Amino acid sequence: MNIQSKLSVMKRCRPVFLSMFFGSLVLSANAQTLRKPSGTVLLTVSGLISQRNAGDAAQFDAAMLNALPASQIVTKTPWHTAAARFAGPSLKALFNAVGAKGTSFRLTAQDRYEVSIPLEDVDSFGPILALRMDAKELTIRSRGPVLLMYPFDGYAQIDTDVYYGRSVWQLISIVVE
Amino acid sequence: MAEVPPSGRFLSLPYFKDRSHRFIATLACAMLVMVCAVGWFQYEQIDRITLTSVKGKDNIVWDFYKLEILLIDYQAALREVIAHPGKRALLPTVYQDYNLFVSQIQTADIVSSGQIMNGRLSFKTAVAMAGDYIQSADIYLESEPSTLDAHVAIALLEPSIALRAALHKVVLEAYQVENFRATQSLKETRRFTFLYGVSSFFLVVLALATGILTLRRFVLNDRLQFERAELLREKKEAAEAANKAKARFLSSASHDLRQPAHALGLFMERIEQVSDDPQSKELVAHAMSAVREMQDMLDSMFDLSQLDSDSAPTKVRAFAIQDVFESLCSVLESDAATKGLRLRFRPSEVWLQSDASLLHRILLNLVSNAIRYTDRGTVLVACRPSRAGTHVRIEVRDSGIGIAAEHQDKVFQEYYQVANPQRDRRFGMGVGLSVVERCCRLLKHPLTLRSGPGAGTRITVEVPLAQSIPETECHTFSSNQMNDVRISAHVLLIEDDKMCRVALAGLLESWGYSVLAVESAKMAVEQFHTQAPPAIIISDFRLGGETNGMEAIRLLRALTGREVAACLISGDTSHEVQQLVKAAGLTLLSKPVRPGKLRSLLRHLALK
Repeated sequence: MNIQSKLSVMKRCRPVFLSMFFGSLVLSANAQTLRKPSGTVLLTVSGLISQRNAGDAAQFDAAMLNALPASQIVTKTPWHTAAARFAGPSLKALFNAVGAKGTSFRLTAQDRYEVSIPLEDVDSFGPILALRMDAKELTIRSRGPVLLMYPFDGYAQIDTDVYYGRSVWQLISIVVE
Repeated sequence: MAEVPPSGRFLSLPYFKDRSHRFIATLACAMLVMVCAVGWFQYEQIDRITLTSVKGKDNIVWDFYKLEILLIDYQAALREVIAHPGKRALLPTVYQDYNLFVSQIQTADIVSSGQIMNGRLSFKTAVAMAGDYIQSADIYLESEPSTLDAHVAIALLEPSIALRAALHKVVLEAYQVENFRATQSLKETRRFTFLYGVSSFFLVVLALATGILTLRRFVLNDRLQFERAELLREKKEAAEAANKAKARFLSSASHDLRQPAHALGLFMERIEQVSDDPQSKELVAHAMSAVREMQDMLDSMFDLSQLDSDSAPTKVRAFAIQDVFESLCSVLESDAATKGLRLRFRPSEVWLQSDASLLHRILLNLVSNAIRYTDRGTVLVACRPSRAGTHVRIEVRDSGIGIAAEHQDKVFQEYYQVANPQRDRRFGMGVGLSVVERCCRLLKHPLTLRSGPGAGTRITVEVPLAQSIPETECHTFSSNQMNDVRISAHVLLIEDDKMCRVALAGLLESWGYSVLAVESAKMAVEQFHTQAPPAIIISDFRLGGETNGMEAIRLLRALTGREVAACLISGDTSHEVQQLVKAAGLTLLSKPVRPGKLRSLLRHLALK
């Protein structure tokens, strides 16, 4: 293959290169700075994280959470009569956003409920921070506004009390340890 | 035939033949099952105890107390609103606390603690009251209110106080329930620990008991084995003693019988010479053959007793088999001829390495046996090379009645005869083959028997060939060739048994010898002075007095001052006596003496 044809290949691929370049810029900008929340703070992440926007912690309002890559889980739970579609950012996306470096996470709910989950859960089952159930915004009344949801229907091994206990309602804080 | 059922085959395995083995195996199986059962039981207990202890930790009190706290938070927020009417910043807290409480109380009967308390009156009351309260409060607080009047706040606070009391009752009852569950769990733990301890103790006892039982059984087995060995040893000793006694009896009986047989033989020899009447000659011939038969029997009995004593030494040397054949031929020819049989010795040039006299005895027994059990046809004795020429198989083959397979391993036992259930004396006593077997064992010559009923018998003895042939031909077996040359010489005969003395003296005189017969060494010495010195001394080995025949000969030789030719006759041909006589350089003739043998010996001595 001669020089000419090599150049022509590069020309043809120019848009790809460009998008890669700008994409990486955007990503690094995202990773570098976490903007301050403008609305009501729904979730506070603290502990071993690299991205912060309020002292030692990273705070998120609804807009910031909605801006994270979203996932969906359709599953039955013991607390709902029928299977429902839960939507919101995955826990992994949140941890990427704050640069979490821990091996376990302590979750606290508004009603003072506390539970620890290991890092493996995040990789193995992909739990999400559900903000919507069946396209309706979760409220405190419907165990929101942030509800940690595991895909119970997808994995038989997590259909236990332990994982029901890890599905935290009215989640307000995560400490990375 | 039906198939043996597998269980039967299993139980008939060699390991389970013994009753005690079966017992131990059963015990082991039972133990295994028991251990498994106890293990499973303990495992189940552990499972149960874990479950109950987990249940005990459910902490349902906290779940309900949390609800109460949420309600208290809500009440506090309401009181803030009542205290600062118009302060809008307080409203989100009221809204939030209310909805937190509602979201939790609405799922109270779904969560596990609610399920435990479900059905209890306090719980039902509290849930019903909460439902009523929520219906009235939702109007104001389901969505975030923009304003909240103080009166409304008071109206919301009032019924919540009763609701809190009801919730508190649930908490108290939950405490009781939890306490009860914890107590149950504790009891369960105690029961489990007790059961675990008991079953473990049971296991230990079981293991110990099995150990002790097994040990005891082993000890018992050991003792039994020891006793059995002891019993066996005693039996063996008894058998050996009996065998020894038998051998002794046989030895002494044959010895004692030899004396009269000896005399009888000598007398018969004389009678044969003196009778002219053809009728009496025939009778005498019959009597002679009977006497010979008797002497043969005595010989073989004596052979057996000697071989039994085990000390019989073998004198292995090189000799020509042909000599043995010739000797046997001369002895047995007449027997064969009497029965109308053809007795053939195939001439052979080989020299063998063996004990000539024992081999002679072996073949004598084999051939005479063959003649005895063959009615017509041939008895053939032949040598065949074997083992690549290092050995020779001497075959004795007959065309006789043969031996059935089931008898073949018994014929070599003493006194066993195949076709002689009436134990006819004419057929011998059945000791012949046992003598053969013993001699062969002594010489380590393999003995084989091939036979079938009516198909004749072939017995072979395998003998090694001589490595080198001696230059001077040694002793050959002199047959009882009668010599008609009459030799007269003076013979001194010392014999304490009167009958033998008279018979022998008569026989000697009939052969032309002048005989002086005395009964003891003392008398011989006395006579010695009055008579001319004898040319030959014949003495019984065992004399009545203190001196034996050998000493008498030595004494007499001392008196004459020269080596007078002498020979000894003895009924006692034990090994020691033979050794003694041999050491003195004398010839020993065993009783009953064959006249022919004695005659040729005397001729030999007289010519010396």
